Amino acid sequence: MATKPSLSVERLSRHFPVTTRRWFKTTTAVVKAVDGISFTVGEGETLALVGESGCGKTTTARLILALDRPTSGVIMLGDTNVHDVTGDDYRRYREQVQAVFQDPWSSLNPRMRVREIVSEPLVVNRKRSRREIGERVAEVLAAVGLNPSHADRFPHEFSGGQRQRIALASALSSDPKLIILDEPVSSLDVSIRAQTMNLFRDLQQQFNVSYLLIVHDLAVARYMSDEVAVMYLGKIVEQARTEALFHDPLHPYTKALFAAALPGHPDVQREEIILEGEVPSPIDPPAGCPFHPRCPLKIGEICETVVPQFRPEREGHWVACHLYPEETSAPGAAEA
Amino acid sequence: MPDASVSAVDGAPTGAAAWWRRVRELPLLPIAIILVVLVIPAIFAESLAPHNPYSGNLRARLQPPAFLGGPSEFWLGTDHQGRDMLSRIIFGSRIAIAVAGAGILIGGFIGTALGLMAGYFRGVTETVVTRLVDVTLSIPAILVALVVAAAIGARFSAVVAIVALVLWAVYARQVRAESLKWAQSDFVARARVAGASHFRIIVRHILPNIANTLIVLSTLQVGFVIVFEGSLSFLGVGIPRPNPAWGLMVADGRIHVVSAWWIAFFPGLAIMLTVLSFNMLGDWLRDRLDPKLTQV
Amino acid sequence: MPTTAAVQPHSRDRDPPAEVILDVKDLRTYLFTKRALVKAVDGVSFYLRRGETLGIVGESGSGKSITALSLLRMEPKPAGRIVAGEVWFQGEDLLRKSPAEMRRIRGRRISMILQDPQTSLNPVFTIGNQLTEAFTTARQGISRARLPQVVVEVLRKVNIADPERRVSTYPHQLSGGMKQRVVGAIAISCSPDIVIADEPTTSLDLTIQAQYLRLIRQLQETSGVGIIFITHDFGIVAKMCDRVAVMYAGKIVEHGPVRAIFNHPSHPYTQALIHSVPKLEERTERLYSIPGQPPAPGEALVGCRFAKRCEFADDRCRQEYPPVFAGRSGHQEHTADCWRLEDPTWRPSLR
Repeated sequence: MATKPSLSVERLSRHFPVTTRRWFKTTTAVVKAVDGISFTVGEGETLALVGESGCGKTTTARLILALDRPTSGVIMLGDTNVHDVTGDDYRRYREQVQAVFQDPWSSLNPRMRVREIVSEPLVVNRKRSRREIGERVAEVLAAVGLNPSHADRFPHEFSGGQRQRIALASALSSDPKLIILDEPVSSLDVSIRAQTMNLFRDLQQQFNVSYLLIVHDLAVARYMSDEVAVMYLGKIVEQARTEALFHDPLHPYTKALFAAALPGHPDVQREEIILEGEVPSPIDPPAGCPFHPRCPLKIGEICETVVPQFRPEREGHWVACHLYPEETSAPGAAEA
Repeated sequence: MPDASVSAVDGAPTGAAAWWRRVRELPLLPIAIILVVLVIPAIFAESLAPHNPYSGNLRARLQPPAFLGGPSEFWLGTDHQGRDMLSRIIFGSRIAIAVAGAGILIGGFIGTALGLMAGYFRGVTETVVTRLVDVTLSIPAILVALVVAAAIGARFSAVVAIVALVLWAVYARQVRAESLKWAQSDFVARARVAGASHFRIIVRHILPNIANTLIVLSTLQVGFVIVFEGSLSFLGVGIPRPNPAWGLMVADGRIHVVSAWWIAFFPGLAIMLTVLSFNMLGDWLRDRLDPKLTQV
Repeated sequence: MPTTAAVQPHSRDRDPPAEVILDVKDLRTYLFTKRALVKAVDGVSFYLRRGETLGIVGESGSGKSITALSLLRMEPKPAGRIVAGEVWFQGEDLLRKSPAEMRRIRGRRISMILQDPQTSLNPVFTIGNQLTEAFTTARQGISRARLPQVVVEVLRKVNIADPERRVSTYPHQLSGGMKQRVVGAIAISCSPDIVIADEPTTSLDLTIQAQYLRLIRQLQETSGVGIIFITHDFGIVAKMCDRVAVMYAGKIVEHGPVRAIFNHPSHPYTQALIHSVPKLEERTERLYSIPGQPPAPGEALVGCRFAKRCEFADDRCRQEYPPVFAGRSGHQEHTADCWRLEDPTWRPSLR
């Protein structure tokens, strides 16, 4: 909210049909992996999408990366609608949105030299001369703390942390507006994580790029992001500026996540909220609030029947929960 | 040569010592057999063969090998037309290489291309290719060969075509499985995000990663093709007479097996040694290059 | 800060320490690979008291998992070999036991929970089958007729809802969290003295991890089992453990009660690790970033293993492995392997 948005996502949904055949009966159900979410990522800022496995955060990333097409909804980068571009505009979009994936061992082609990996976004878009590409490769490699002589090596000669630097150099090479960081440190060794996170933060400043951080670790989200959106079963249940959210989480699920997070010190005493059961199957999500079967603060029937609206409880702090009813309009005004 | 002290720029032991260590790790016996039985005879057939492999001396027919008391000029004896067995086996190596090479090249190329597309694009392409593979692998190849031979006659190109017809399916199946796996890898996702075309992804990202599989697969197929060509020739639908194909020679020796066993034995031995060596080499390559590839 | 240090031994005096049930002395497990000799566990000593939770914390390659496996003589074959050491358990050295004797100890007196519940359960048998099997091999003297009932009870103990129905399900029908609880049920089925848990929650989601950790706590309270928790996460240590041993490149570099270590980390590695993890509770301006990489397996190591990445290292650190010094908390069980501790006033303070 502080800056103008670099990426904006509106009512984005991705539904997967699931067909089961049993004898002669074919039933088709729908998995709502992402179900009508909206958010923006400010220019030069980091938005963290936080949630457990199956909450839809990875599907959201794939939609923004145009690796998958949404069922409905709009993704806008600047003034271009992502799923509506062709030709040169499409190529420009590809330059402007890049990604760093979780596993540095599978995200670099083992048969390519670092130079080829890093320059790929430049080579495929054929806008620069060979000399310019060479200069750019040296520039981004230096930025991520690697030596220009590393350019002729193969990925297997590097450790996990160094590979993640190579992936970041590649993402930065085409001077993108947005980089999606999908769990970028969770498969790294503990002693490597801090240097990698610090590097991500420093380069964000230097290259003025926005990050969409997909992450399950709340402490990492707090350290890396300006704004946090918490997802549960394909929906955003709470979103706020990072400090506001960590100071005063509103949604019962967010509170439970905080309680479940591991403490930084043995003397840290947390409210004991342990959710019973597991995340329900997205094939058959609960009616009403998707969180109600596990919610320790359920207030009554309304939670089981009415989908809570996602609305600002405070300035810039949005939440979807019946604990925070809208004063002005009638309670229970569920959206269609 | 044995001076390992120089040229060690990066500190690793280079030069003769390291080279020698690497050589000792090679499967030397299979490589030696392949060289002696197949490669060297094929290259130097004209100078190595003591006699003309096509024309014999009928007066010198069915002579036993020299080491069993036959005439000293025929080391491995002569066949029913008086042709020198050794010369025929030497020239036979060319046919073996030509059939295996051409068959594997053509079948491998078609199978790899279709397998790559099936594994990468999925959908209809995949369904069609996998069905075709299933159909191809369920057709008895020998019967097809008999039909083809009856229709267009036994000739080299027909043999190569039949070999390719069988092999493409083997390649397509293996390559589809491999490229399916790589197509889902994160580096392919990154290439797509970077804006790489399908062609670039297949050629630059997926193909190099299945190269090892192709090498191993091809080595293991050499043995199969030589035996297969031998079977076809044995049945009279392979390489036509009087070409010195090993399988054909075994077939010709069949009726003389009691009186002149060497006519069938030595070409059979050449087939066996070659096939065995290629399979050993293939197993070794598989362990070295591609431990995942356990079947085939 | 010195006040807390003074308090520590005090609290221990109030609670007389329980007997030591496992005592590991100078354990060395080497991996003899084609390329190099990897000293995965290079002279490790620690102990476990009855009913206590010991955390062994370290990065991948630090040797923590191979240490755990070596205790049960399950070092990765064929490369791994225990070349020296003693593992005293109930008055006997486990390293001198025959394979048959070890089989009787494994799963009965000492059991193990592995990281991946997927591979710990056999996919072709039902949950009930596998638990019955565990009870039968443990020879607990439970009659055949009573077995089904005991199986249901143990499933209920690990908080599996509707255990009567679950006994006839197959592993693939359960979620990851439930599978890991079944693995836990098998591990405690024969009421062992020690459970070794090797990163049991890394494959679980946050809320499921919280359920599981609570379960382990409850089981420990009711059964008094000693737990060795192998983890890379100081958060797990803070939440679950009484004592902790910090491993780096095959050595235990610091050891002591959890509070002593968190309040007075004495080895620069421990301190760097604690400072390099972002906190949930407070805003971190900038994390301390440990330079460099952990040593590669097989790398020749002289002197202090951490010297290359340490801010305080000098020539002696790089040449000679330090002896054991008392940790800075003053707690008598707190020790660390660092030359700097020779100077009693020195404290590691990064940046």
